[in-house]
Amino acid sequence: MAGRLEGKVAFITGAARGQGRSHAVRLAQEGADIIAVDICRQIDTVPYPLATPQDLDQTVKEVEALDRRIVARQADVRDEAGLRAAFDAGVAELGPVDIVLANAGIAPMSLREPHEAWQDVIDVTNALPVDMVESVDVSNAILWLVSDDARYVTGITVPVDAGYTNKK
Amino acid sequence: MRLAEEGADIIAVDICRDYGTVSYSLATEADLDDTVKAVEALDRRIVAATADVRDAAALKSVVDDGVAELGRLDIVCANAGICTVQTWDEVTPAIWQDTLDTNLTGVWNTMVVSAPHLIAAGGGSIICTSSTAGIKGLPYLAPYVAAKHGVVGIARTMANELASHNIRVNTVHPTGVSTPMADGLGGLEALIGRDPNLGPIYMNTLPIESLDAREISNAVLFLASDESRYVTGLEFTVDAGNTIR
Repeated sequence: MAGRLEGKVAFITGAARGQGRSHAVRLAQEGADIIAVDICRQIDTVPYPLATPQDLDQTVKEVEALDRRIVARQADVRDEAGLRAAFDAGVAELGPVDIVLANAGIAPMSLREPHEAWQDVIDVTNALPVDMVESVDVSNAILWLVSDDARYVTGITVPVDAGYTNKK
Repeated sequence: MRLAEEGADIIAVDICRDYGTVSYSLATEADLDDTVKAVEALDRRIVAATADVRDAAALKSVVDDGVAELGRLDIVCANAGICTVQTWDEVTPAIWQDTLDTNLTGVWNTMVVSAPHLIAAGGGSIICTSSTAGIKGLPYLAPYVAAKHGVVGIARTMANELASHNIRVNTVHPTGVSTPMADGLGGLEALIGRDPNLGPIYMNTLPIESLDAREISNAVLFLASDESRYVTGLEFTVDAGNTIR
């Protein structure tokens, strides 16, 4: 069966690991080629380790293992010229971009509370009986939104939050 | 048909007769037969019955019989609805009652008779057809707007109440769709002509006037599938950007 994104090119920021890598792999499974960008170095104000060049290499391996092409570059989304150079390098190799995932982000808050306290918060706040959603669940929502199935869907907010916002 | 294409068996319900208050023709037995043939052509099973969503007892017996025949229930589309066009002072008590009874109470009845089967199955997905009229105050559709807003309310509540059973509840909000219901919207242009200030409320952002039903079915399929297993309590617009204007 043909993939849902056959022949498409996707530009993904923050693609070295986490949700960005998950999106790269999920979209590649459906036939998309990928332009992957990540800063791959630490930002001083962020208390947890950010992605590394090895993480970005791993994304490359996983996409290539699916027989899709990938152009990966280290770039900082705050640096327009650097980001443009990465984008242009991808387009030169893969052709015009169809899909853009502006995914890169940091959460410079403390995630160091004891696990039980975190667990209590999650248990109370999600409506569906799950603690956390998986990256692939976010990727699946994105896959649908970027596919032709959603060609008349725009300006929408799609929480993948196990009912958290509805419960508030 | 879209769900059957992806492997689902179907329990199909339609009233298959006209309303005195509705100007366009509602579905017929022949239409329901066409649905049966289309699903069977996809090699899926279908149990079809004529029933009125306003009649909870009749609806319950159709769903119970369908589940007995097909084995289980995973997905519920509370879709049946009517629409009439008129100014506020032309809304008769009968139009108000028929619209609220069908479009709001009918959705409620559909949920209530289905939920026990979803609980028995260990979870499921309920998709209620609302509208851009469930988000905006579309002029000349007052009873329809009231009911479609109400659908959002009961969907949100049921999303919370049924979540512990792994049941998700979402609403879809189409802009205009090219179906027989659209025949009933013919009076709209003349009314807007009398107050052109209201016209832009109906305009989409993307350059398309109305959608094919299949575009809405694609969204229903996503919400029905495991790819949205943690999506619940959501107003899912398929509206060419109508509601962001």
